[in-house]
Amino acid sequence: MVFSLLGQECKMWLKNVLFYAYFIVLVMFYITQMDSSVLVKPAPGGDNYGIVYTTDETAIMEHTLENLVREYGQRSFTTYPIGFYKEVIPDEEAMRRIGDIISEITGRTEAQWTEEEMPGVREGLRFSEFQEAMAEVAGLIGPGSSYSAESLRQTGIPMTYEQALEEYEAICETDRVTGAYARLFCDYVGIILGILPAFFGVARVLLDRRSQAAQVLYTKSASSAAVIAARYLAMVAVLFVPVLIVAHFAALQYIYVAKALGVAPDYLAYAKYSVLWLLPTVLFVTAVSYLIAELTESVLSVLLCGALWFGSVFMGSGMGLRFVGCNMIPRFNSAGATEQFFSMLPELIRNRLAYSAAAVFLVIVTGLIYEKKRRGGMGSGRKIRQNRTGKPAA
Amino acid sequence: MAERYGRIALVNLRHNLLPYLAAAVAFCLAAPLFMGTRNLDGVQSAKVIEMYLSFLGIILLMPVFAPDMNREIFDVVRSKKESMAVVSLIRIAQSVFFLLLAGFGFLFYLKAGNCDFSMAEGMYAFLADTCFLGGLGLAVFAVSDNVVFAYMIPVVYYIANIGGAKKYLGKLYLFSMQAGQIREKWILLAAGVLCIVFAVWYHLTFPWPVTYNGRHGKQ
Amino acid sequence: MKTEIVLQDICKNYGKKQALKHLNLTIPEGMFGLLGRNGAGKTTLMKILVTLLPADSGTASVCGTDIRQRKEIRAMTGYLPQDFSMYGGMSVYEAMDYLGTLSGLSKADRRERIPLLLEQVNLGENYRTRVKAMSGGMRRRLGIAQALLNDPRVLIVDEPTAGLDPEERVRFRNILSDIARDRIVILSTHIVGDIEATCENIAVLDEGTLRFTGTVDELLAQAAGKVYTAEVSKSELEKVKRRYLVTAMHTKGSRAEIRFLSEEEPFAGAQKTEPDVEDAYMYLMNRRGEN
Repeated sequence: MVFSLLGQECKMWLKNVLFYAYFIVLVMFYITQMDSSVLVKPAPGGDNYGIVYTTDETAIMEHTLENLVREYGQRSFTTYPIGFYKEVIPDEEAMRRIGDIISEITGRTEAQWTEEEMPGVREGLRFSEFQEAMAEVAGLIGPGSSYSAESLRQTGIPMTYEQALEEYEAICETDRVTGAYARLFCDYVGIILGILPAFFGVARVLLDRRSQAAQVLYTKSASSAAVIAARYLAMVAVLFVPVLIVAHFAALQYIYVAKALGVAPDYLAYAKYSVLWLLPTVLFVTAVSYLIAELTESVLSVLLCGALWFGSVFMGSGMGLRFVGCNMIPRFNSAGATEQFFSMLPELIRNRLAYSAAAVFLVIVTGLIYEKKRRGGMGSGRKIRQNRTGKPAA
Repeated sequence: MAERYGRIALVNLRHNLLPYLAAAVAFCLAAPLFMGTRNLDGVQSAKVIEMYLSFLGIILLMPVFAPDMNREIFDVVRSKKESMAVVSLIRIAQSVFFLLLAGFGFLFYLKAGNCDFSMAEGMYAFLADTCFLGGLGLAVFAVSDNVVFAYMIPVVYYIANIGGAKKYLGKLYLFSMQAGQIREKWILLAAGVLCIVFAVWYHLTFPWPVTYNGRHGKQ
Repeated sequence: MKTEIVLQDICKNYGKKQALKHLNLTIPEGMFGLLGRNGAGKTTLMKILVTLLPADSGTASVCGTDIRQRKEIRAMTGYLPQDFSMYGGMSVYEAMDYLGTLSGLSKADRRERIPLLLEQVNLGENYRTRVKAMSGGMRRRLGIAQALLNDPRVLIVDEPTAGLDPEERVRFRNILSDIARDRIVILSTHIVGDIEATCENIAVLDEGTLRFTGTVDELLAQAAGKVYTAEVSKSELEKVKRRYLVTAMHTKGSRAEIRFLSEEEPFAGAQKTEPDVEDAYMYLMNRRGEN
């Protein structure tokens, strides 16, 4: 029955203006966002090969410490919690603790390291110790500071020719060209998939309400679990199939590029990355909006999802646009940086699994709410009273 | 007369606008948790106004036609002596009033926090962006009779602005204050007002079609 | 298992308002009419029977199945709410197909049953008509067809004829009478004519309590000898109206022909007449409330 219902739900969506608007927006977004820069093998003697995030631990420690001492001296810390600038002025106790931490990692007293122009870390300080210390500083200052684990990873230095060549080779060999661009695709498309599914969840609930069909649907013998599962899966299907279609066309371009460079492309790279990266976003946003809409039966659900999206999009933007963490919309705004990506992959997988699991949980809760409404709970009594007293007053 | 208008406004406030007002207040109060509201320079202030506060336009203007979604109420209200145009105008005036209130409140708060921008320019940019986004939504709502679709369009427009569509948008770019081109905002403001006027005109001239026994939907 | 519905001591409150007060009622096979004013508790009672609302206390069973076994109850009942509608964009056939799926019918069953049902409610020519383009009467007939999808033993119809034109109303009643041959059909109404034309057994609800239950004849018997007709002048009319409950009136020039209720022999010139259901209903509802 679920499958039969699923098919009928999908058919309903195919008659809804929302679906076509979504499809058009998806295509337009892809067209306007994708750059058509062609992958070129770097030539020696160039003067700019771009920026690379260093993994050189000494460079990271020095760069970060310098920043920390400067901000400490100003008694003001710059943060970007959701991409908007926010100045943090810690209280006395926190400042004292930060001072102590600096003393620990420099191995000198505060009087000493404030004197010096460029205090270095003490001899023999392990990188893991440094990371721990910075994690504590980040905790004291709050989210979005330059001392979080994500920020430490993003200490950018200019790329050398050798590094550029290495990166080019990684794109060709590890990513087989298509993989690198599939990531960029997911990075962009993830932004709109963080919000557009929200409209579907609300629309599905409001459809029942506005067409006054709910009462009859409630009395049918189908279980609430089947109804909610079919509706949810139908939404996910009509949202995700267009993503795969656009991904397919996007892939064609780089399959061609790969072939021109003599690399065997991964034909399924876009599909694989889309499923891993974008599907969980669709699952989660749809589930959140559906749950809140089922609960409130109003467009307020859109506003709440909007807030969630806003936070997620801008949270990524303060982090050099290569940021996973616990963000609903993981960012990796780079064609290439293959090595860095694969070092982040386990984090990405954990993140995506967590969002998928959360989506399943939310759908189950939605099912419970639906069942409760079917039994006359959750304010359906109010509706009946309204009916009893005749027309509501205008 | 004034009593009647006051009554219409009160009913709208209590039965329609209230949850949206609460959302708007929560939206404003949440800001300092996520972003700096003190000692911002010109560009940073403009970013808060244009990229954050502009959402208030969607939150506060979109409920203008919401009561009319209930066809039975719509028909009862329409049959009353007061013309629907007046009722719509009162509702819009209310939304704009609260928009101004929120705008002034927030900008004063920024000013008090020593942020570097001109109050007049800030309000100008705020009104232009909010009226445009909200007006766009209202116009789509009036024409499509699909409230979800009507929310989607201004949100998509906003996304297009933060995304790469800037070059296609020309003078309707939402974030021009950050780029120091505040003068161009009059186009956004005019377009927003036009959208609102069009929405009301369309809504009243071609009310959402009625089908039998009071339900509505498109024939 | 006996085809009947048994309600015992059912109570339902909305906040402080008591919608049903200790209701005891047995509903046998056939057409059963539920009468009462707006707000008497008819819709509440029906919603309890189709599991849309839980009763606060008391027990109820449908054909031997306890009402709290929702899944079983849903499988054996069909419901047409007062304000039935479906997704406007769907065609008649799609709506039936969708609701049939929700009723747990297989694809083959749906393909077989839907045309039969649509034929039965005279929508055989309207497979492709969109729901939003249907008239009130058509929509109500679609409502009946969908309520019959699962071949229910109990069909519950809330105010089915309200707002229909006379022709549609007659057609609708006939459809219901056809259906009621081997099951329970409960219809609520405040249009007494519906009951007269179709129902054998009825119950009258008033402010959540049962005023009457029995056959239509029994209801009529209560009012026997209490109904009179008379022709009065317009000046007398006001006086009569103040004293008696007038159930019908025809004006003919300066005089009016009236039908009214009276416990004892009224004024000279008034003629005793046979009560109809409307008289009997009015008699019942005003017997205790009369001042």
